[in-house]
Amino acid sequence: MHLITWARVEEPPAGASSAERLLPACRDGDHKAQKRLYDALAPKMMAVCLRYMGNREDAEDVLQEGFVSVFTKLDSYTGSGSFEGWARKIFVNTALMHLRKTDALGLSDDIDQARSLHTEEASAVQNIGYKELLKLIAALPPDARTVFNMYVVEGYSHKDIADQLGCTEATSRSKLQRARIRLQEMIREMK
Amino acid sequence: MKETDFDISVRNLLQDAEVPVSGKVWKGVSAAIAPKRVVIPFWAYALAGAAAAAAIALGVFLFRPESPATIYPGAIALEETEIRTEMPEAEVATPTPILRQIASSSAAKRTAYLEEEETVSVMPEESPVQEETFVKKEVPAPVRANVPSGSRVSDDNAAFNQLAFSEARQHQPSIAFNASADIQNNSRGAFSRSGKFIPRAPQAVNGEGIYNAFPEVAFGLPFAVGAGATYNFAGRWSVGVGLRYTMLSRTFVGDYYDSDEFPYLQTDIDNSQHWLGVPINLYFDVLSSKYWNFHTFIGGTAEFLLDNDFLVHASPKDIHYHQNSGYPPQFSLGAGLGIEFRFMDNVGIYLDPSLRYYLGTSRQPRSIRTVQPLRMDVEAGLRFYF
Repeated sequence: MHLITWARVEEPPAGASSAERLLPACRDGDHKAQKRLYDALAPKMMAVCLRYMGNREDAEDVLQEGFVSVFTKLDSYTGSGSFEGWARKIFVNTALMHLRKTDALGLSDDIDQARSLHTEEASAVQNIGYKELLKLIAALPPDARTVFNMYVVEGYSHKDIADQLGCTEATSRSKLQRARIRLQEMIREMK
Repeated sequence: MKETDFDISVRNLLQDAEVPVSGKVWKGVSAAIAPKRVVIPFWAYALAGAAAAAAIALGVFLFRPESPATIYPGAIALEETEIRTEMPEAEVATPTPILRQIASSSAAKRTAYLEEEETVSVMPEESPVQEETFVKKEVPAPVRANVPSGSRVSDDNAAFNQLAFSEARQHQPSIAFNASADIQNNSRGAFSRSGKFIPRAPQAVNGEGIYNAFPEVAFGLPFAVGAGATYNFAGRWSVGVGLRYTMLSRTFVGDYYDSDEFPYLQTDIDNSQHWLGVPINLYFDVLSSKYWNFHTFIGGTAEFLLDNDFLVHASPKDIHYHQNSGYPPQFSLGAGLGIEFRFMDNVGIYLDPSLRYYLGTSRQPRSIRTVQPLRMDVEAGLRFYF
């Protein structure tokens, strides 16, 4: 009876992604399952790491560390929300930790300068591919790049960003604005 | 600050973005999460292998099948055969007088021998072998069962009588087939080409290519298996020809280029080269006995590249890249000494260590041969006589 109960708990929910179906075996230390989970997630998470770190070498360091955290903390994934979203947070946090360690963020309050800029709403993004966009994001200054990624792609609020990065919300807004404008400039220069 | 159309476009574009990952990341992850295992050092494997080989060799040596030639009457028979082959036909046709002489001579030897080795031979009550000899009264034939156990003194001394080096193996032209395995050393020793490491330019094929990023390369043991035939065309001389498959391998950190927008992937790359060769060797028997044969040989081999495969470790899947065109046949010259042990009437086990030099390696794909063209080679195998 006990075994049946255990099996039911381990059963992935209906409609679970292929990655989620591998979780029970990964928790049991099945090396093949771990490799399959890695193969399923690594390219997507590499794109996340590359967005934050700006270069392949640092991105791969973060990716490796992030995966070690994913595998060692699998038990803390309760199943609420998608597994990919849960894993993505780990990689973002790992990247932020690295950026803090290297003092790459260097966030300062330069709100006045930022307010003098204004955003072009016209979307220039539609004519480029994601690989080009990744390269352009990588070319942004680390602090602006980090805020842009957290706000635009991950969907953090300015309050969350300020808490995570240890700056004010105003600074977060200013960095975001500068990142948008710089990115649009680079897209125009590409054409 | 509200979300703009620009933000939404960016997010949509990056939502499912994927970037290939080099294989070294998984290596690092795997090493960090794998349970710690006890690593058995290579020398332990080597020691175990050597002990097993020694045990097998000892077993074969101690329990090799007996033949009449290992006891005296058989030795006479062998001598008779030798005389027959060396004598003109007319004399061979009437062997009786000669055999009497031989038997007398052998009997004298054995009598002297038995006086020295009293404990070795025992006179049997009645032996059918004795009936056939011409000196049965004077020359008792020792029976193998009476030889003290655990001693090979009698056998070896009997072998002394029949150990007719070189001449004993002069025989009619014959063919032997062999199956062999072969390994070479994978170290870069005193003969290796030195100098600064110069990364090779990418060998571009359809926008793809691979080159070594760092000088560190780990070469695997070159390994070969083959089969062939040896033709004994004159006394001590034989010629051998065959087919041999060889695999060379190396692992290095390299750069892989493709035609994608992310052309650069620096990762671990496994390179395996598959060759098919035709070896031709000339053998000369230096010393031969019934069981043992010491020989020397020289020869050459022409090898043709079947496949030059690069396995680029990456995620989500590894990439295979082949670079096969533009390589001429690989020629090599070798010379060595060998030993063969005939543990059955028509089967021998042999070991042929040799030195081999590979010619024109600058035009060949990078391998241990291009780094050190002079190589130590050890071939072992079985030879079947017909």
